[in-house]
Order: sequence, then structure tokens, then C-alpha cells
Amino acid sequence: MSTIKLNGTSSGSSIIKAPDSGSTNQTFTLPASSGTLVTTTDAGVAGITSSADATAITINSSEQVGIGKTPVNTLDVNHSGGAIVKLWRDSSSGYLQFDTDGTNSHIKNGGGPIKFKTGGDTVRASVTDNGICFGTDTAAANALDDYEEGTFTLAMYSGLSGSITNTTATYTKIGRNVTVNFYGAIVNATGNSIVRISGMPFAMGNIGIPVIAAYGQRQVIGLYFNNAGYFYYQNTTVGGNNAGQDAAWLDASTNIYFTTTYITT
Amino acid sequence: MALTKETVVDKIEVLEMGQVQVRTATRVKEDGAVLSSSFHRHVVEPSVKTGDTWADTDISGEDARVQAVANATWTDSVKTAYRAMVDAT
Repeated sequence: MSTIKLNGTSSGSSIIKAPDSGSTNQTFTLPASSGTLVTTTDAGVAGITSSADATAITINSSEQVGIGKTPVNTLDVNHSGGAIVKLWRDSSSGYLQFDTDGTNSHIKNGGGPIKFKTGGDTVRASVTDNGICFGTDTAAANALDDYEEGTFTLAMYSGLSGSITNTTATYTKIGRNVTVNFYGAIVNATGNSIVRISGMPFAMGNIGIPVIAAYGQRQVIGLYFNNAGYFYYQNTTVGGNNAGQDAAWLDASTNIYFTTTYITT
Repeated sequence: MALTKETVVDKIEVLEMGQVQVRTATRVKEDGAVLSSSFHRHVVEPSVKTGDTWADTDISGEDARVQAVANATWTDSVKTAYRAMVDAT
């Protein structure tokens, strides 16, 4: 093995200059400490294996690191498809993956819940296959699995004349609880022997739920939900039922207001 | 910068007695990115009763997919069961 010894200047780094055919010096600055220069035909730095034939990692002058991307942040990672970052646990099929389809961002795992911990190792919440569970709870029945809000359309129940004017009909669904807020009018329904209104935004999972409704310039009454899909007035007479109310007291257009919460199936 | 508004039926649910619950999503987009979205729900029943007479529900004004689901779901037995439920309650 041959050895070439370079005597450096009295200060600064040692430099090797190699003029190319254009007489431009290609310079190699040697580190102050001992080390090994490697070439593309070498095996690489101990502990790092690379077969890259293009730039994979970029570190700019601001010490920002880019993997698959010119960095503009402390760490930028990019990939044209598939998983962008995938964290594996050895000896397990579990993983945590971050990626995006260009519109939506995804965090997903290889199985089981994704747990959020604070204070060291205390589980505060988990995203499970059933929804969001709090604390260490994993029961499907306790998982918060839905939130939705919107508007809906009430209508006279099948077989009844008249119509419903839906001025304000909004709902908010949290888990299985559905809260509805309604302001509208019962129109041209005086010919009915009963008052039944259907069109609740979600199926009813419980029956007999009282609803306090206010009729415009009329009495405040209690209505009841029925799992057949409508709510109705409960007659107060002995043996009375939902079929007992005479609608003749309604005006041609009678306002009705109510807010209630029911359980959906 | 192109603003667009679209209304789509994004969820169709069939209840036990054949009622079809329809959710309509209204989305406002800018160059394809959703700026806002809102939902509206309504129910389509398997049969309608006028006075004492039952008839098939007119679903001609519903979205094509709602019509397809309703037509597939509302068999004679489903409509009969629904009518019986309404008449009994």
C-alpha cells in the first residue's frame, strides 16, 4: 500500500487541487481529523448502505434536511405515491404510516387502536375500529362514532292532508343522540282527525319520548315520538291515544316550534 | 380561481320498515378543493296514503340512485308490511 504525505500550510485545512482539462482546479478539502474518503464504488460509510443513483437526501446550508425533496423546513419528506413515512416496530406487523393522496392527509396503522398518551404513558383517548374512545375504554358501545349536522324536511304523515312548511329544521347528531330544532308551520291540515308529523332526520331508536312543542298563538303541548317514524299528540282522555286528537283547532297555517333529543338506532 | 357548487346524494339508508333516508350534500369548491359542505336529510316512505287509499310513492323527483334503491327495496311485501304498520299505529 502506497502512502502520500501532504504537508499542509501553517493554518487552515489541507487542500488537494487537481486541474482538469480546462485548467480549472477541482479542490478537495481534507478534514482536520483522520478519516476515510470513499468513492461510489466503495461500500459506503460503516453502518450506512446506499445504492442510490440519484440524490435521495439533501442537507442545505441552513442545516435543513430533505428526503426526496429540496428542504424548506427542518425536515421535509416527500414521495410521489404510497406511504411517505412508515414507522415499523420490529418483530411485529404493527406500523404507523403517514401519507397523503394530494388532497387528504392520512394517519393509519397496521392494526389495533391508535392511542394518544400524555403524562408519560397515560392513555387519554384512542381511535379504534368503533370510533373514538376516551381514557383506557375500548368498549364499542362507548365509542363516539359519528358527528353530523345539517337540515331536514318534515312532512305530514302518510294519509294525512296538508303540508309542513319547514322554516328552520336543523339537526345535530353526536354519537347516537340526535337533537333537532324545528320552526315551521302545519298548513291546511284541519281536515285531519289526527296530527302526525314524520320526516325526522334519523330513524328513531326509542319511543314515547316527550316533546314540548309550542303552537303559534295556541297552547304548549306535549308530543310523543313513535318508532314508526312520526311524532304525535297524545290524547288525554281515558283510553285516548295518538289517534284521538281532532285537528280542527288548527288554523289554516299554525306555527309549531320544538327542540328535542332522541336516540337513533 | 373557479368557484363551483354541487349537490349530490351522498348517503342512502334503508330503514327496517322500508323507509329510505336520503342525505344530500351541498359542496362549494374552489378549484376542486372543498371550501364548505352542508347536509340535508329527507325521508321517502314506501307507500303513501290519501284518505283511506294506499298508493305507491311518487319518486320521480328523487335522485336516480334513490330511485334505484327504492325500487329494489320496495317489494310488494315491504309495502304491505309498511302499510300494515301505519294502519296499526
